[in-house]
Amino acid sequence: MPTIDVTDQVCPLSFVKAKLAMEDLAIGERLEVRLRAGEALANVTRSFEMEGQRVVGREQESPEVWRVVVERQV
Amino acid sequence: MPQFTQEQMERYSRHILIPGFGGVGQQRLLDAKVLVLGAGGLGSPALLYLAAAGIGTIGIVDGDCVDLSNLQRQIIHRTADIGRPKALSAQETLTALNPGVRIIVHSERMTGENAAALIAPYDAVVDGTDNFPTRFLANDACFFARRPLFTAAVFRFEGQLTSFLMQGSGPCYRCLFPEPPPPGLIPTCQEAGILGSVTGVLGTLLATEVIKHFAQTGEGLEGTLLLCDLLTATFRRVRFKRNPACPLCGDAPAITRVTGHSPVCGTR
Repeated sequence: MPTIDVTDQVCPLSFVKAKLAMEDLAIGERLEVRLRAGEALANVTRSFEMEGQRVVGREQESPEVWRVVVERQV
Repeated sequence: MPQFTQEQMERYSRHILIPGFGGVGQQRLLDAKVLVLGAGGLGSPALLYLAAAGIGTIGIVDGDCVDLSNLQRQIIHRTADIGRPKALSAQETLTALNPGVRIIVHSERMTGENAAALIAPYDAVVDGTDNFPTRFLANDACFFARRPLFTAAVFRFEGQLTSFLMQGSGPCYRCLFPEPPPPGLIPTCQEAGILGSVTGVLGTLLATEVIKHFAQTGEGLEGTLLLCDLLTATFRRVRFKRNPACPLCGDAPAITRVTGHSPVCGTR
């Protein structure tokens, strides 16, 4: 599963960078997104869901960083 | 996948965020080559939005120089540009706006002799001209070159807009208007007047249709004439079809090559 690190970005660029990585995948494939806790975590997961993608897992790596797994649906 | 630099990702982020547009749509814009005829009232907003949107290569055809009376609507030029070639003035504004797009200056009028060579390197043409001979010439040249044509016209508070795909079949502009009107029948904008913001609305609609076409999103205006009466804020859509008797794209065309129309209007 490919991973994209967007901890270096601020909103909405964290989602823009993750979305660009998602566009490389086929329907049904999964992307792991490494992002910062707080605003980025909330915005990126919500934005993917609003686009019709499925968030299938989330795991806290450290107090500041999360890993979210998103499956491409559309 | 499109490989965007951090600068491109930020610059085009509001496009990439749009569902159904994304990085794929943005990359299509960056790969597109568009020729804009006229850096005037329609061309100014069209050029500004096309460059801002990241259309990768933009050609500007205009043989005129900036005049004080242009500045009420031709918002790509500045007061300090009076007397300078419009294509050059427009290029400077666009490069300052988005240094990432390639702007090619053609400081000349399009004629029957140069039309095919001007159009050939581009994927599509935007007609922002101010006179009928050039408008018909653009149509004929795009038909023979099979280049999509996005065309608009304005008059006082009114405007019209449509697109032609020109993939060998029609319809074309001559299906709507077979021949140019006789010189002097229709007042030019220097005789009739034009509200500057009306050219802004129509020029912006032109850019929107071009961007949609290249991003491959939405529905175009092919076969539909959009009529705008901005004095009453009214928009109407009129459907039209290929005319089998069209002198250009009809069943027995009388026009078989691009001929040299000479513009009758030296509109300032």
